[in-house]
Amino acid sequence: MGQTHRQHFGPLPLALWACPMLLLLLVPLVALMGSASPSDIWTGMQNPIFMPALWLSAKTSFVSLLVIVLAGTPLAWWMATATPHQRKVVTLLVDLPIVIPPAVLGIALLQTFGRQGLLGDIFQSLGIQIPFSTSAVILAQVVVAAPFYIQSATTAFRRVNPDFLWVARTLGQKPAGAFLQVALPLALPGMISGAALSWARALGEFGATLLFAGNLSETTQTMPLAIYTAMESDVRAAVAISLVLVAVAFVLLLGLRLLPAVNPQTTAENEGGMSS
Amino acid sequence: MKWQAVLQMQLCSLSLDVSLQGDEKPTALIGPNGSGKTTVLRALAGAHKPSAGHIRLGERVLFDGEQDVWLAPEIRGMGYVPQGYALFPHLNVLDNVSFGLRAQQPNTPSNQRRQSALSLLKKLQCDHLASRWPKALSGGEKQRVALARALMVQPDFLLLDEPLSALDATVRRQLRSYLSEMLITNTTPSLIVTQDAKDIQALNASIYVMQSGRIVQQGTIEEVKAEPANDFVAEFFNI
Repeated sequence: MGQTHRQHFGPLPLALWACPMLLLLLVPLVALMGSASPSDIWTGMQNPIFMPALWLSAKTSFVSLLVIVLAGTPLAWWMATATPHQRKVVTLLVDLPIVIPPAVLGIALLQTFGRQGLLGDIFQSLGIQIPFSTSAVILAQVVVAAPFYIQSATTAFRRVNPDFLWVARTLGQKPAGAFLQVALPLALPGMISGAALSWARALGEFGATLLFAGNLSETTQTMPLAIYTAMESDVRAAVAISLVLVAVAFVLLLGLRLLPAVNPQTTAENEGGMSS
Repeated sequence: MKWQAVLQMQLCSLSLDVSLQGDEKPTALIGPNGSGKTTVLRALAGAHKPSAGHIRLGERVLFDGEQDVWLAPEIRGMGYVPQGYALFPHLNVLDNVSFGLRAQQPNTPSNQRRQSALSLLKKLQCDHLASRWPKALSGGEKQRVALARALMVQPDFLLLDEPLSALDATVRRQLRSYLSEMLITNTTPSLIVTQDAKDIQALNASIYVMQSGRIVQQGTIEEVKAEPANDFVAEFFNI
């Protein structure tokens, strides 16, 4: 009976109702892939904006990821071990950049680091100009992408059974030792998948970068911005860059799906979690 | 070695106020679910800080509310085997057992630490499990490995939270005699939470009965059985 309900939705089988959405997600990608011949792609890749944008995107997104992991891991660990009330408040703040439009975040970053911004005077006195620089690209990517890593790492840390940590402590480990030798390896798969999602988000960042860092070739013109620029002059270049991004996204997603196999020993027993 | 624990603390809805003491002979803590037995064990291990009281192990003071002494878990010398055993799932049996030596003998090469762990596993007749992963162990095997891991660092005190509860009747019988032999010959003081009167008989343990965060009865098996303080004790001993 239940099986029947799951397979039918009104007069048509459920699969038919599910098709439009699936097609809407798939068809544009298929269209993109079919829009250029290999020679078109090759020509597009010869466009002078292609390589600098590819290099800048690779460089900035990896630096962003490094910043996100180094600064986000302590925050995620703190959130996992905080009281439920503290966690609720901080989770709300951390998740804000996901729901705020990237363009708004770009303006917010300008209001913080711009000449007239909140911290503008401090940076100016140090002779550092952040807006419209590569640092601005990295800052924009960190702000929009960090929540994905922090969310995932916090969940992974919360799944670590606190008894593991207490046993590690009674076996002579200080809090840092218990974290590094027990919590970190157990949470690693969740941290890696969060880092991958975060990196993908940083790589695709457009709105905040455009407003906060501008669209300067070799300095702030990352691949999404290069697509935007190329659309005005050479659509083949735009398609070539887009296909590179699609390929990266596909490899990343495939890698994430294979992730649980990385350390099968940890998957079954790491349960209990910091639920309080 | 004599030990004493006076603990007062408030943890969520549980108000704990207990006083326990003992010597090398195993001590058992019994009581209904939610009476605070695991909290007592965790407080002794250093996971919870009581608001008042003291914990003394021979001459050592692990906690003293008045003098503001509170030793961190890593320097207490407590061997803790929680319910479910908490074997580290990312380490194999040998690395689980040698884990405590990482901090205790940081300058010893890991091979040598593993060798020491293997010797202990041999002594406890479970060296054949050395290369297995916790996931692949039966309940009884997990229990032996968890005990070996706790004993590896030669603790001054053993805290065992329902060490036999997850096992089927046959394995439980075998491990009960194994555990009692080990605890009695080891002379390390121990506090064992149990739900089974047979465990207490096998260990010849002195008993503390807990209810709602308080000790409601204490004594030897005979004393407790003679005058059960409540229905729980009467049922526990099938009286």
